[in-house]
Amino acid sequence: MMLRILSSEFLKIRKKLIWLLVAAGPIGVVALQAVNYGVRYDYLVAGKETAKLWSGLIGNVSMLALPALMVGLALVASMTAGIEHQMNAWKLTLALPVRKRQVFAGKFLLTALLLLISCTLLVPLTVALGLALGFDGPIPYGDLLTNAYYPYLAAMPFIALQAWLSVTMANQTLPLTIGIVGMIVSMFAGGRFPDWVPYKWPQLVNASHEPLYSVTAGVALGLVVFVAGMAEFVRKDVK
Amino acid sequence: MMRMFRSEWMKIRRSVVWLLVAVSPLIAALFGLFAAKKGGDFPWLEALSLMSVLHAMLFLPLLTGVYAAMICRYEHTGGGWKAMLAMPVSRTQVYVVKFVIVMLMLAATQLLLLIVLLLVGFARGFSDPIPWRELASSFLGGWIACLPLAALQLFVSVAFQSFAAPLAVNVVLTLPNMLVVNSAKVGPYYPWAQPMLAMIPRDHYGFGAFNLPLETLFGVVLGSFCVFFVAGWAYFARKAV
Amino acid sequence: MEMSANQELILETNELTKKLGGKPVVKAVNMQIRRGDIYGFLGPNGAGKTTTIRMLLGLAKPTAGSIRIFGKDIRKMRLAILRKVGSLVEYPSYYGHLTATENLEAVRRLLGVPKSRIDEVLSIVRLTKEAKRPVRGFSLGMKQRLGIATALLGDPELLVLDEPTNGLDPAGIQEIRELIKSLPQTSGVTILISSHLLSEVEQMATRVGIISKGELIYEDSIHRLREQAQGRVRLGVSNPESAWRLLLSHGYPVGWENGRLTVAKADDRTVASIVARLVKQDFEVYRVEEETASLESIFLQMTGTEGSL
Repeated sequence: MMLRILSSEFLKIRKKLIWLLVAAGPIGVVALQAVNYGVRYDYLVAGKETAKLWSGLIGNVSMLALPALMVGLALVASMTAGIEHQMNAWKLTLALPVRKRQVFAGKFLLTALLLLISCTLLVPLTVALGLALGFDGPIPYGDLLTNAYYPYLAAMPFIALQAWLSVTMANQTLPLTIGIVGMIVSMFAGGRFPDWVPYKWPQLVNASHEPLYSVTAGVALGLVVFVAGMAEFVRKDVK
Repeated sequence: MMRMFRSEWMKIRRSVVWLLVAVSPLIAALFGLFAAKKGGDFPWLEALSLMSVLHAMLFLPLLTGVYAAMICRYEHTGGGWKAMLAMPVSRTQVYVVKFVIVMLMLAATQLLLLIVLLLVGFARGFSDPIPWRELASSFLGGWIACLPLAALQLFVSVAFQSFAAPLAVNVVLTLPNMLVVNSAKVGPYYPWAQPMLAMIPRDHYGFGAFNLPLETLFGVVLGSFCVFFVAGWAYFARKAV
Repeated sequence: MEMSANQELILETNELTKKLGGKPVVKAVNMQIRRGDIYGFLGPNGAGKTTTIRMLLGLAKPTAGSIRIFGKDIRKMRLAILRKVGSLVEYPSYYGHLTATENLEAVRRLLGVPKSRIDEVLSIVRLTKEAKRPVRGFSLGMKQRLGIATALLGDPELLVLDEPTNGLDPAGIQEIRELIKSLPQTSGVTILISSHLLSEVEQMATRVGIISKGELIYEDSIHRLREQAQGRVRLGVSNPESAWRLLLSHGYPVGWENGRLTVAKADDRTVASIVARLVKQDFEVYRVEEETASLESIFLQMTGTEGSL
């Protein structure tokens, strides 16, 4: 049943701007770094060893990708839920023989999958930029994948939260404002907040220097928020 | 015209607009209270720089988008455009009123931030006299620098039915600020960086793109404002509702 | 109540109640729909029709009372019930950027019915030619028909249509009406159709329920409602008082008001024999006239909305 719901969800976003956003996010991030490297080539590239070049590039891409992910998840969640809000289509879907739980899970999964696509695109795009800049030597695929997926997993509480808020509120002003505030808070959370603050997790910074702690915490809390959102959605009357 | 303002006011009065206006000043207040130093040669201007970095680099441009999307939301849901344009008002009036409302909300945000800054200053016991001239030019400058952003966001908000779509445009154009403001070459010509360039006190904290003559700044601001506003207005005048 | 074994109850509510913000909008409604009915659910705007229908579809939860559809409790067997129910609530919901076919496909994927069903329902509502156009550009009538097509997609046993003719022009109303009338014959479906106008459903409904201020104040066959609407016959005669006595003494149900004799619910035979009797006794009969109340005025009287505008 979940597969059927997802296939229906993907059909509904056909020809929608969401796809443009999903692609524009990673492309924009890498393109900006391309300009950055182009303008400051001498400072960033000249005379450095290959490994440093790659790790520098990955770090620079992550620096922009994190806020893009944090605000992008709010936008994508709002757009996927907006399809139903705009045309008052919740009553259509929920009067069909599907569980409300599954409808909620469908919206969450759609949002999460679209963001996963965005994060995945970062990898080939970063590699392409590195090669275009003339970096040679072994491409550090491990680091590339880690930097694409760990922050994504650690941001899971926010994906679940935004999916919940966007689905539950017809007016998207509040969910999107919360998303924007979240992005800005997370950007400045790194050095200032204690480790337990979720806004810090996507940066994978913690006292034990173990990124997997942030990832685990993110996935766990993400699950909790998801279940809470689902419980609320199931109980609510449909407008 | 006055009546249209009142009708717009009715529409937003009961919404979350107050929360939006307060959000950035409140976060800036937290920053100011915890991070502002008491000492230093220019405590007021240092506090201003600290509090307005976040505000002017990201919040202000992004909020401009939220405000614009919000005042078009009522018209997009429930066929409000039709009802509004069927009244004896010209489209130009409608568009101008909407634009002015966005700018008023931005003014309210700026004013609230200024009040918060003063409160933080008193709370931390700054002994220097308040540098009114610098503060006024910073807050007013930041507000004026939002003109082109508000014009473009109103354009896309009128064009897209979805609430998130104009904001996506907004985010895509605002995020580069993080890189652009460090660049003396690109920064001065990038409209979305202008609020930051206008708000950060000059001379004391000048680096990267911040040292630039007012003429460039306002040339870029007013130039891009004219382009965006005319484009949006022309689109709206022809839009089928 | 003419209830026989073959008239199985498809839908039944028991003391169904919904409060919104403390105010009861649906009060203790007991509703019964039988297999094959076209049930007209009538009431003025704001009487609680849509709220009731939302509860029937499991979109809103009752504050009190219960709903049984196909003999199953909606709270416990929602999915099993909805699998055999098609619905159109208030105005049609659709995804404007998708074509009619794609809209139906989005629902079809959830229902898991064969793809061929899309063409079938499109042809039932006569949208085959417009199937490849984005729904955004459809007229209201076409959107309404697409909504009905969506409701029919799962080959339902019960079709719930909330104000399907709302906002349509007379031609559009006629079209939807013909479409709905043709359904029970073609697909054997039971239909619940709501409206705020009796005239809109009277030509197709077999039974009606009338709801007013949240209460179901009438539920019976359309036939019975027509009987109520049937007028009485008034007779103008010479010496009416003695004529009245005479007729009463012969057991005719006559009344006397304003110098006229009145006979309620008189069939042709009764009228004929009354006239014959009077003439035989040398009364002069000046006029025999029928006084009719329209269905609509009875409806308005019942719902207390007469003259409310």
